[in-house]
Amino acid sequence: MSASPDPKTAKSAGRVSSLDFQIEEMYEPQSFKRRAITSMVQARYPVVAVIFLALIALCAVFATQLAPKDPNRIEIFDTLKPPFSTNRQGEMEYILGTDSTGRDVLSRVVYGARISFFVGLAAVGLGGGAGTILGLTAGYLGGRVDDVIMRLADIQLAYPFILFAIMMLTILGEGVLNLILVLGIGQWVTYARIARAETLVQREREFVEAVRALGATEWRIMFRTILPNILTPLIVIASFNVAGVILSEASLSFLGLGVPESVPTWGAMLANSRNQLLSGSWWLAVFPGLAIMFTVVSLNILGDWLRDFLDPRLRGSGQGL
Amino acid sequence: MHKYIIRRLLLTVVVILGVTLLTFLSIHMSGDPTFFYVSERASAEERQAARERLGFDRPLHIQYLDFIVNLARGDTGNSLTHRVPAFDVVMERMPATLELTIGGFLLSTIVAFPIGVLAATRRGTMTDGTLMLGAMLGQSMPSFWLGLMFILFFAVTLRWMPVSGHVAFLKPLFEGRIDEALTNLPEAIRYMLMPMVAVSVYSISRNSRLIRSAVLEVLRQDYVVTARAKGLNERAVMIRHAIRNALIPIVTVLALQFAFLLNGVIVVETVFSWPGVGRLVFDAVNQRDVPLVMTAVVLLSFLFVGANLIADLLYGFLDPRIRLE
Amino acid sequence: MNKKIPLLLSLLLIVVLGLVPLMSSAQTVPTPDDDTLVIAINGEPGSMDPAQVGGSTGGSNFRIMMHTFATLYELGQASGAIDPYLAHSFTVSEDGTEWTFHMHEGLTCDDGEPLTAEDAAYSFNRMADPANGFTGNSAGFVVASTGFVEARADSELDVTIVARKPQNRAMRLGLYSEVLVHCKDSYEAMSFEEAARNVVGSGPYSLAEWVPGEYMSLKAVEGFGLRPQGFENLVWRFIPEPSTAVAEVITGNVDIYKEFPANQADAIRNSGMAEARFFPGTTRTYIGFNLNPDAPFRVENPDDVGAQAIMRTDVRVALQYAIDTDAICENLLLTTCVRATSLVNPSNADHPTLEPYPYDPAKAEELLDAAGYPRGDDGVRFSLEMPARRLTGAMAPEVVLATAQMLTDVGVQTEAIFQESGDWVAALITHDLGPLYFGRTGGSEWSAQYDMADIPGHEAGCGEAETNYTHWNNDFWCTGWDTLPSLTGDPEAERELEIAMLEEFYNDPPWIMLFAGPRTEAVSNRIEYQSRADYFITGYSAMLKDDM
Repeated sequence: MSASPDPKTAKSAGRVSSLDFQIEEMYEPQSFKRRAITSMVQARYPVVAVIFLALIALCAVFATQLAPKDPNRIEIFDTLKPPFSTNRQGEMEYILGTDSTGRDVLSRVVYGARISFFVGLAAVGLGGGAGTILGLTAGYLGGRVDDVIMRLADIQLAYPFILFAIMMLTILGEGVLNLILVLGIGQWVTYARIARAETLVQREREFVEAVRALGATEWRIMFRTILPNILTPLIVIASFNVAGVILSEASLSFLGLGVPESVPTWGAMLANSRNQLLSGSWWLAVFPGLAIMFTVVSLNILGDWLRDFLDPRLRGSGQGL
Repeated sequence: MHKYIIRRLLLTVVVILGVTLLTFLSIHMSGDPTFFYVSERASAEERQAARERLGFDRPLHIQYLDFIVNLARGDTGNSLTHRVPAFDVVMERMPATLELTIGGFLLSTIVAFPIGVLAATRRGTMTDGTLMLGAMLGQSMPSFWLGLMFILFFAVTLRWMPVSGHVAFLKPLFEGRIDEALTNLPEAIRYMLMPMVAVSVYSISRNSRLIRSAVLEVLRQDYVVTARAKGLNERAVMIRHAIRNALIPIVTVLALQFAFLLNGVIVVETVFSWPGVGRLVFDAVNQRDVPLVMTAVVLLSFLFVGANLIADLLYGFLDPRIRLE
Repeated sequence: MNKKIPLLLSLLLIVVLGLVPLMSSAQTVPTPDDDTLVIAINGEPGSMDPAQVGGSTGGSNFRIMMHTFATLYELGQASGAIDPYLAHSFTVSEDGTEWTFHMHEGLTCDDGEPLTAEDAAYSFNRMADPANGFTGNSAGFVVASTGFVEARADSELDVTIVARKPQNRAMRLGLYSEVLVHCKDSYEAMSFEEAARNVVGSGPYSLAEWVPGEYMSLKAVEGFGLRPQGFENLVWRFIPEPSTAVAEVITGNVDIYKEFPANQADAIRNSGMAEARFFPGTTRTYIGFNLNPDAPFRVENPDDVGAQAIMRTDVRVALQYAIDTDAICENLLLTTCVRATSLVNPSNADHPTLEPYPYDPAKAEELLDAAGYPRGDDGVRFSLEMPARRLTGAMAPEVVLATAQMLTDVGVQTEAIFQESGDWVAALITHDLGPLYFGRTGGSEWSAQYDMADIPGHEAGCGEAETNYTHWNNDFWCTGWDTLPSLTGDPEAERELEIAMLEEFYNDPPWIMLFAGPRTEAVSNRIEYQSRADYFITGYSAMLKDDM
């Protein structure tokens, strides 16, 4: 799956060169974009993954237009209709069937894209953002600040995540924002540790010295000089992380924690289908299940490719898998 | 080395304090736990009496310090729902959770190894593609869901497996009844198999992908190329160089995996009526059984810290270049 | 070291791990023996102290302790007739405050201790003593609702229970029968910790083995003549996940599982292993209107139209027509049920003048229009929030959501908000829950007054009374409740007042009346067992079928 034209050598070349060269080499738009597309097309699978994810994103953005029905509309006389069922007027209405309260499964899957995606991105954005900043700060400033942040990370690592999520969601109550908060807090340590380690390396580099000698503020060095250079592994991890967060949401739904009933999510649909499983209402599980599966697989393929393309050093380290 | 371990132990104290403080604050943030221990018909006076009896009327910092001081003395207080020492309640469930976690850990390591190595050696072939596709799929299903599917298929449809339940193995072992533990072993494994697989499929998939890329990475290194050039046969190259060197990054991740598995176990226990800490803690949080929640969090945190410590030690042991200070 | 060892070893382990289950699966999974009955319950008992039943630990320990402990008497299901148990009869003092129970001779507890009036009195006093810190059904509910003062042994076999006031015979009759009797010497010898984990019982079964989180097995007490003992062993398995419990029923490993999810009925029936029963329950299910003028949602938001609208009787009446209980029962609970006409269970609401409110959304809209709440441009008259809990059966989220949808359909936009149990209870008992709430309250099948006791009279504060969760301040009702005890000698006048009060409830409803939540129970084909309308499972009365 790795077909990038050995970016490894390119990168290490960048390491010994000046700051300007470094940034240009990594982020010069034309060549970067072209290389990315070439590499992706060569690898084939990432293209499929990107198309699928784009489709999901489309569902998420245009859910209101795409969903045939209101996803929360209960049709008490049309409960548990199998796919391609007609409604009471004899019209074909339920393409993917209905659930135990007569809500349209197709509409809920379409709307579910919105939440699964939004929660995934937001939680990773929150956790990743906070983790990166904390890691960067810890690594750059060192000393007392480093100690405090890393002890916080140790505390977080010693706290079984699922226990933390149960506690917080029981206590905060259900809600999309609460869920994002909890899942985000669950992620920050990974980013903080990597950001810190990378910062420790970058801090000692010549171009940082150079920028400092030119009189740049600490703030500027941290966020303008170092941050762009440590982003690559973090972006790779984030792509895998979104998949993990989507699965975590499903597990929390199984425990009855997470978002309100009025917000359809794939995880909650899958979890709720369990009462109908033994009775053979397979469509309640299969469609949200497939949605989760395809999304997660796509994100993983994309993550694999991103890693190979951006930072093959990570390949054997086990980070982010 | 000794210094390192002592420092880690001191750190553990800090971590436990942090974890308990966090738990304590959040459980009290959600309002007055007294309401869980009075009848729906209790009058305001009765509620106040209950609040005083349970000690929830005291200032929060006093309650917390009280818990910590008692904890240091080895007294966790009585569970409010079980009405026996919270420590005992958690500890009698711990062996079952460990069984599943350790079992899942072994399984995810043992199965992932051959898959990863095979896929790496057959890189780019049909075998590699199939195995990696399987691994991708294995990483895309929530464990509770797999568990229910196993029940449906292997227990209800095929009747090969028991639906749910548990035969104790670690508990008699810990209590010194080794004969009983050994007699129980076959049945224990039979009951454990479905939950164990459900818990570890994600990790198996993740590990085998990881092992594959670690091996591939090593194969690309100069010394392997040299070894090949020297005319060593492929198997010798794999075993002497590739696998051994690939072990280093793998081991760190595997040890962290233990903590990850424990998270999954807590969810899967519910599906298989497994008598572990997972369901216990979930119920305890729901009932605001403060001493029980706190105790469970402390004990599970110890487990996590322990797993992380072992990971670090192993890392240093495997890779002499890393010195622990 | 041979280099092949690690790889070979791992392969070997996989093979071994794979073979162990396959070898043992040659035997099919065993079903329970003929002398063992297996009952699945979702919760698990926390404490097995007979003074600590239900409450925060859930009711599961009560279900089990009904087998290990006896009570003075029981009340027949539906009939409400007294079914003697440890006591064979009782007498009531002239002023009605003292009830004296006459107990059988020669009773013993599991440890051989003789069981006498002293022990019965001890059982009442022990659970009621605040110093002991018990909560739950006995200590919380029975003591408060019967006005319990003390219990005393008058002689070897006569125990007297004293209440503050003579009133509410039905309530006392019902609740005294729920107090589990245990032996004084046995329990005084134990600490509270020991009493939580050990059982010295007085009932038909004794505790044989308890594996926390897994199961509890009971053994029939030899020579116990007061109740049947259909099986030598009763095993209670704790299975938190309903689908798993149903799978156990289908594979023949569980004989009784109450409250299975209605949608799994076909799976149970098709398995040929068990019967899927549906029957009316006793738990009254309703939507409460919170009428408390000081409730936070009213105080903080004085312009909220919905919160003000439901203060009006005509609005509350109008909303009764919006709910189609038949459709809910038939399509979501897969059974039929009778709509309630008041707070009293349909089965004991024998009042001639009241017909359940019919489902008539057009009428609901008409009445709401007339009340001055026309639909706005967006089709909404006003909006309400409806807190609910995530429960099972007749309280399942599906039912809650369906009612919210029906209210929304007549222009009263209703959002169901699922809350966690503690928050819910805290707001409920302080009368702060709402504006609507989806509630339930335990009930009986045999006494209207038992059900009516939720809303007591002026003496208890009327609207302010703790259990009057809707804060319904109805003078006629409250005066009536206070008058009822004085009519104890005149059943006809008592009945007349009861009916008038229920009519008042019907006409000035503080609830949207729904139904007594129907129950489900899976019962294995190998046993004969009479399902109970209430929460309990009387495993002792189950019998193996003759032809098995």
